[in-house]
Amino acid sequence: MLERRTLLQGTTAALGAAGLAQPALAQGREVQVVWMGWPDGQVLPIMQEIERRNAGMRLRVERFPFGEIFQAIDVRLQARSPSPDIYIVDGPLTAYYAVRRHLAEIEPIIGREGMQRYAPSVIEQGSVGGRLMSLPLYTSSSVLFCNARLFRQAGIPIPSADPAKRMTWEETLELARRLTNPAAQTWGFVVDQADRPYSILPFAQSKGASMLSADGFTATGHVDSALFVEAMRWYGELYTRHRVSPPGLFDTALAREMFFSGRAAMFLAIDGIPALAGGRDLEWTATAHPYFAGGRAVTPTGSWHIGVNPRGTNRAMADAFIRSYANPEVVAMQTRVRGAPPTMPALWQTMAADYQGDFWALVKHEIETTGVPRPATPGFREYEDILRIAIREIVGGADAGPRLRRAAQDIDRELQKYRT
Amino acid sequence: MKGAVVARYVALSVILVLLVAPLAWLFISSVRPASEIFRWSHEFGWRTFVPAELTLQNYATLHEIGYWRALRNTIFVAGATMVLGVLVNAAAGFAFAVFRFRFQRTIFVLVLLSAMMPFEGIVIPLYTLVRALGLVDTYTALILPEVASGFVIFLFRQFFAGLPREFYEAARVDGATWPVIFWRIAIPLSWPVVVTGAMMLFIMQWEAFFWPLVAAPSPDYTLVQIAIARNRSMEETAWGRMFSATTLACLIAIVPFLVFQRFYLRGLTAGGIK
Amino acid sequence: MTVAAHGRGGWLRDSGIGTQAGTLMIALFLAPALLGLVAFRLVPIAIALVGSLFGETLAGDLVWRGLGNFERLLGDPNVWHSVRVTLLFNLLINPLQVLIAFGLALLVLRPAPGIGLFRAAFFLPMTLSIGLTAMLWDILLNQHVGPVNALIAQLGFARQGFFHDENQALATMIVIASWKGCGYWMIFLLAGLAAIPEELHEAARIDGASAWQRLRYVTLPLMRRPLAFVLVADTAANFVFFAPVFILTSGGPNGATDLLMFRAYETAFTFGDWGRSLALSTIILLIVAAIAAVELRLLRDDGTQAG
Repeated sequence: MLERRTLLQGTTAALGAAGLAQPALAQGREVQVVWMGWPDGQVLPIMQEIERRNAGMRLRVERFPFGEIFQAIDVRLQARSPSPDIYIVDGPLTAYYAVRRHLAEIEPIIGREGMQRYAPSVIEQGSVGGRLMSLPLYTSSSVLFCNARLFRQAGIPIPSADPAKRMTWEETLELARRLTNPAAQTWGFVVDQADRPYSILPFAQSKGASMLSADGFTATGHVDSALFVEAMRWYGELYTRHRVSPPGLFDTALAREMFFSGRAAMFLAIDGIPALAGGRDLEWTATAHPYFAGGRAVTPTGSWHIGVNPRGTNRAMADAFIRSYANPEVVAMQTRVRGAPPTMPALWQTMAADYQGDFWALVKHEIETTGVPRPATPGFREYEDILRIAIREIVGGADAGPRLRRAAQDIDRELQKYRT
Repeated sequence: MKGAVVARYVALSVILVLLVAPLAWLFISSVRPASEIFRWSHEFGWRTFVPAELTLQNYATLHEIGYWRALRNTIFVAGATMVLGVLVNAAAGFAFAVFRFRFQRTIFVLVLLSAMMPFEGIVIPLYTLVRALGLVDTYTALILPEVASGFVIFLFRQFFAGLPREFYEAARVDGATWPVIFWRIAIPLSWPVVVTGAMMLFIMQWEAFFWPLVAAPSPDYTLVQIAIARNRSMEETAWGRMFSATTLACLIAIVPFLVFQRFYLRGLTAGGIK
Repeated sequence: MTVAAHGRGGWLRDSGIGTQAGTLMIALFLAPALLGLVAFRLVPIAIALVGSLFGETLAGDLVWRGLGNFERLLGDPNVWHSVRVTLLFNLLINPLQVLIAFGLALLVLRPAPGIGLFRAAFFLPMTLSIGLTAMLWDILLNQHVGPVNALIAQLGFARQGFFHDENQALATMIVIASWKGCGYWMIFLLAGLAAIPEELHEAARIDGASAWQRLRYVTLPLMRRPLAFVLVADTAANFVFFAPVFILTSGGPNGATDLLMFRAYETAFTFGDWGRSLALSTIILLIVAAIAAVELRLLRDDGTQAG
């Protein structure tokens, strides 16, 4: 079977014969890590700690800007390059990489005991066919943030952070109507990732709709099912009919700015918001992610993972890196500098000082009881992108039924290639 | 006559405002504290453009994203590409314009075609080649593939072909060799084209993002656009610093143009055959 | 000043001055550039063209598809829609940008107090990368966060969706691309205008020609070559325009900005079908080459240079 790599290497060998080629440099004991462009404070201390724990290991960490990180990684993986040794993986994309043989299995590296320290939802997110293919790095949850000042000004009691007092979506809409003030350009309800499945699927899941077939290859019958369509229609009407949400605000950073500058009364967003709101003149509280009356409470979860390149020439060191990253002390350190919820349940206790207060109690509760990871499919990227465009158009006024039917067909067509 | 002058400056000023106002907002935002940047952006009033508070914090913290290093890298890479590129492409453009040789048309068509292929189509073979040559994470990988440019060759070819044949023939009669004619006659006569060709190459490297990310991702070789993009992660965007990094990049990139543009009128006005 | 008539019409047939030179000399002039182009462009392009005839299994093994990728693309109505949008986009943006650039160049040509600053200011948008341009305009034109809609509302009109309005998205793309690019193309035309000897304008003025007549009979004929360059280079650049689409609209709303290059990018990096993406890139290459050939023919030098 002719391999792309053979074809390309053949060509470069030809050029090499012309006297231009030199052998590729040996890797030495350096581990090449491709990481997200997170701030120094979230990355460097951990990397230094890992080097400290592994004598002789030298890490070369390349931090990529988030706009092009996937594409740049893809070029190298597609070229079957041995570099990078380690790379950051968006949790739901684990199957995408695994099916293309870009990931080495994790269990042989950290052992069953190592795996069992993690929460079930993050193991599920990183697994393909029951095998753990990417090491969980972070997890997340979503809550409804409230601008206390706007609530007070409207004379509305601030919702409680107690998950037992979770509001329904219908109740939330009522509040949003009262809190929307066109004259002051404030909106009652804003979503931080207004077109992404992360934020939107829980609406459909709350109604009891299924996201995708069990084998992960078929969207028709799920994405265009009556319950899913109903949920999406309800969501779209927030923008088009009730006008409690700002249409066309799909940029996450700008949506957050709206909340930080006090123009969003309620903000459905990821748990990292308080850390980002620091220094702003904002009084915020949190309440539980709403649900549809008669349905179940569902919150999104899942986040970044770490992948090992099976073609890396430095496997011994790469494996050592993974083992260090799976060490609860390192996980605690990483989680702390990021201000994220822990991926290991035990850490809620050992790091209790960091997780004081109603907000964290709520987050812990959601992760443990209502969190549902995004659907497992090797075609997640296709699924997400096609769905995103459909959601945008529904927010823009398109009829949910036909639009989702078309999206389901597009998804099925692209997922065909995985049915082998 | 006076009316024409006034009309010209009015037109120039209107266009200036249209082209520069968005950048002015960006520059002004770079000296605003984070909470102020978007506070007035949704209005169109004097508060949108005139900051109430000023801060240089966004400039002071640029080293945190490796910005100064990236600037140095980019100036070097862009400068080297510019110098090498002008020489190499002008020479080829000269050959196409002045000489006659076999398969000339075919080769020229290939030269043009080489510049018309979408980059994403060739990025993987290009990366594999660069890796096989052991050039990943080197300045060479950033500079070398961008030196020869089909359109810059085209640019020079267009210009040199516009010079009268008598120019070249007279010089040959005087016994000048082709390299001398190229270097001492053709290039000096074509300063405006040299300047624009140089700017073309400079800007191309100044804007480079995807190729450097693939071929030289190490922090030592970061270029300015990547450094600017470091202000954005999935979770947070350091708007103020993004704007300050961008402002500096724009202002520095305009310097070569400011320096070179006075060469524009040196053209052929003194020309003719001596 | 002597009249030089070199070559007969048609840029392709006119191989320039056509003076004699030894093979070694020609090689000396051509080799560095051609070597670079062959190694870093032509060979990868050839590989890509061949690659468009293949597909890939998930494991990375190549699978022969022959013209299968092309058949699939040409049989897909969405692709044809994309072709239409791309052609419309280019039909509008290329002449527009060249005309505006030409106008700008004429405006900043003659020396005047402060003209250098105006030239630099017109060029300034070009120093902003296309990604940052998209981000900046997304903010400025945003209905909720940006000042442009605020101004529109103050003037009494309804707020506009711009990038997020199906009927405005493509036009908005054209406007921001032109905002950024016109100053750039201006400098090439400026170089061309600066190369026209002042004596020719003087002579025409003495003959009683109006400004418009001078433009038509002196300037334009001598600007054929620079205009040909700008038109072809701009066309090539606009056919592969996609970054703002990728960042802001993902081809929408409702396919309004569904450009071929975006499709090629999406097919490679989202759908992971490299063979099909290369086929799309090949199609783009063929269209650009065809249009460039037409443009060059339209602007062919008729062989004379006035004296």
